[in-house]
Amino acid sequence: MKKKIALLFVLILVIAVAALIYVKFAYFTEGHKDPLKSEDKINITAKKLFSLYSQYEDSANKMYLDSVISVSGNIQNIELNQDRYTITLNSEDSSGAVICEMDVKDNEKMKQLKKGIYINLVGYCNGILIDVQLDRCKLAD
Amino acid sequence: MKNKFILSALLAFTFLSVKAQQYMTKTGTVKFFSHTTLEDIKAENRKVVSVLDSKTGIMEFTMLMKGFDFPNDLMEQHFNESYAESSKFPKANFKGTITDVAKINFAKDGTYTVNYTGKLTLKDVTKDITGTATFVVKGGSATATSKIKVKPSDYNFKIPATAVGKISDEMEVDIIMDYKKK
Repeated sequence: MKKKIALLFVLILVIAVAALIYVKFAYFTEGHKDPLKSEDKINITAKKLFSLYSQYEDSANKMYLDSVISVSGNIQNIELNQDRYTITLNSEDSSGAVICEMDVKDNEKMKQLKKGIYINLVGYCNGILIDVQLDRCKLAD
Repeated sequence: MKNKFILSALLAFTFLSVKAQQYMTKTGTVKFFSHTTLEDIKAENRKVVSVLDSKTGIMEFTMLMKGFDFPNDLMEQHFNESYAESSKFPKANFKGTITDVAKINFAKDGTYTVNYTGKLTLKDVTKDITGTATFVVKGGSATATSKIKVKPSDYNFKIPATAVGKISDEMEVDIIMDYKKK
């Protein structure tokens, strides 16, 4: 009986230590989920995404906020800001656009892009200010 | 509704004021840093929208709380769900005035230190903020930097008992606005 209690105690201790290590690892290890690997991407054009957000912000937030969005459109602007590229996709509406902050891992690929070309980016939707904002975006093939 | 009003006011400020000289950025940065003996927490939002009227000194910036980038997903999730309640309070806003804006010569490259005062709204709580900012004018653009201290408790940030001691009572906040002439 004493042996069983000791074994149970050791088992609980091992599980507790493992849980602690897992939490510390998850909390302090730098990194985020790769949006390209998401199986729940929502496909939409920059024109439609901006149109929905500009007209029905609350409804659009319910559908898209925090979701992985695969957004396509023509490049309106490419900007390098503090070592990160920001790509603005044209919404065909002069009041705003879809602004995508790119993952720094894609910096080399960004150098190949030019204004006007049609691309597909995958990232996380943060909502709208003047433009719809996406972050941690990656260039889809 | 309130968010739409704030954004409308920002847009009106941006587009309707035709006489004064307008500067704007959509890629401003706000960083915060919390240090305790148990844990350091840092995050930054690099998509802050700000407008500045170089004649009157009136400035405003607004940002999405979900736009804060943390070192990993778990920290970000805790911030958005437990502390900032970002779905309920999606935007933060600052409206203020540079009280001595005339000290800045936007037409001449140089470094200028000015004072500002204004109101910061987080989680529907508005508090007065005063500070100094440094403007570096170069080639017609202006980069403004400022440091302020913000107490999370002033803005109803709920710190769970399990996190007490891990989050500083006072956060250091860095503001960097890369203004370009409109």
